[in-house]
Amino acid sequence: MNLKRRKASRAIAALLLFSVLQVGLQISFAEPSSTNTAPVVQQQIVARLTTRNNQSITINGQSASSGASVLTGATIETGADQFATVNVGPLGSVDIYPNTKVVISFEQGSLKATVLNGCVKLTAKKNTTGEIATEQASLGKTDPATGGVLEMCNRPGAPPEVGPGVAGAGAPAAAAAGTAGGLFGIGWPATIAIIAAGTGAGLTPLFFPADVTNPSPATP
Amino acid sequence: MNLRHTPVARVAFALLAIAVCLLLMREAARIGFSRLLTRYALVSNSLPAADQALQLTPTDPDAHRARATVLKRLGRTAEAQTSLQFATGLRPHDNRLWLELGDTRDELGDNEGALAAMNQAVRWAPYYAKPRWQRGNLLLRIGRYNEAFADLRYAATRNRKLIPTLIDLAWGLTGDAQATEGLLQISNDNDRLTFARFLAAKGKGVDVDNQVRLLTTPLSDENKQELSRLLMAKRDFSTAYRLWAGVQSVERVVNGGFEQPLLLNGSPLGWVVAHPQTEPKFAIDVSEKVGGEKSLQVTFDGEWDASSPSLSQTVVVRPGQRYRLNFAVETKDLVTGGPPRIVLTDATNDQILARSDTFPRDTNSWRQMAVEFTAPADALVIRLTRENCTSAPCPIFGLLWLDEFSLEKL
Repeated sequence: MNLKRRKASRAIAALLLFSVLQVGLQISFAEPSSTNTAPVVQQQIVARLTTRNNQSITINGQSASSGASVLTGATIETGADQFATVNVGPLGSVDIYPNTKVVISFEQGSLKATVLNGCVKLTAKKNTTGEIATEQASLGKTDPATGGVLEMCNRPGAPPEVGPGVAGAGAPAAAAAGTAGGLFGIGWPATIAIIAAGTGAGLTPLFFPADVTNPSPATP
Repeated sequence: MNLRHTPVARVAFALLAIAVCLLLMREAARIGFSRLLTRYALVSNSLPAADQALQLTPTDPDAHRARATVLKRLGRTAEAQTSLQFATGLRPHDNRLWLELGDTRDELGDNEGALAAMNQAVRWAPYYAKPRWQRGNLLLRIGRYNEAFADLRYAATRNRKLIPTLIDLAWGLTGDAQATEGLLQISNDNDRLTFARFLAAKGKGVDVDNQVRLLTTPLSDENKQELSRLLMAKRDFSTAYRLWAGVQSVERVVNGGFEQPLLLNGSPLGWVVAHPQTEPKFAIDVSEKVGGEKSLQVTFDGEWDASSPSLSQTVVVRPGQRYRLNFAVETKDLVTGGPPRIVLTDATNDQILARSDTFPRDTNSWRQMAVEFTAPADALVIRLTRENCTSAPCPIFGLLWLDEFSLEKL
């Protein structure tokens, strides 16, 4: 009797094991195909765009504003009154002035701005070779031992200009803090404007009294 | 006796009411004036005005936000961050404030702080595109690509305008169609078509083909045309033609007998007249023909710049194969110092492959002409052009008929 029971138990255990294996196999066959797995992307430097007053400019023809990512080889274009900075973290940064089209390329140890049209200011940090160029030729490089700043303008119909201050000459002036007297130091014209606006708003009902008759019927 | 009806009580009640009104008026004026100053500060970048607004309403998050905006414009980003921290403390459920704080911290290089703020922005606006997009960009910059693309993809599903930028970013990181597709995880025909368009603009014909094959619905004529044009602009003629018309378009001149209209509804196949409004004038002629019902009549009435394009057709050929181009010509009173001819060029680099003889002044009847050539790598262009004169001006007058263009393998 005992022997019979033991045999039966063994048979049941073997059957159970077989069933579990079957289920396991089925599940493994049902796994999603490998094409759905995310590809492995090589780590690389990704720059950050900042635009003045959060205006939109274009990167590779697509609209972008502050906080957008810039990859190497990107073509960046600014319109009139648009100013942008591409911050390439450990390598440096490129200031892009209005009406400029520039290709920004970077990799470990080098940062290059190829100016197709307009003005840029490239700041290379130490251990980085900064370079400014047109499509035809390289116009200047920084010394990686010290880093440095390069400025250039490439305007149609004129030879490219390189040197300190050439890019900034056409740049919009930085916002200045108002400190010129008046109420709370906000300036006299502003003070007068604010008081006039406030007074005007307050007195408007006196000169233009509201129509007290209610045109709406008492019942719907 | 009711206390409310005593004169003293009435006066006291009135005075109390007036006091409450005055208090409310003062509060309204304070808040209103603060808002006015805030607006003024933003318009004029005035930090004193922003500070004054804040002094009037120190618990108003909008006043802190305005001050932060002005500070950022003045380049004082660290101080702007402090103002935004106050603002988020006062209104902790406002995703825009968290987003601005994250953006400001990102600008300062504080990645962890920025991510913490952007996490809050996503927390309070989990279905909005912008917080996800901004956080995705931050994650991308700190090298957490899978998380970044999860956010960027989500944002693009909420705002379809972001899809081209998403594709551009994925392509920029991988430079490979398959890997880009893996990052994009395309799940519908619209996105796949946008991706195919992107690849066509890059001249990646094979990848365009692959994407088109994966579409669940057949490509419309409009989309075929667009993709073909993009590929042709990148000089990938064989894929453009295959996409537009299948393999039957290879090694043959389309509409060689001019039996169909010259401009085939913008198709990249067939004859193309570069500038129909300029000289010479082209017309389909039903009276003069070699075969079929029609031929092409070209009227020269003076000016025709030898360098300007006129009539042309791109034909896809088998590389290295020898061919003969046959066609028929008739001329009448053709007077010029620079007679016309057919020139064959390599579509990829415009290098001249072969030229026909120049057309005579009067043929009196149709004359058969032929040009033999070895096929270039991808496609050739058959072009009607003219010789330069030895001196300017170089007018041309008369009539020319062309018919029965055909390509023959040798």
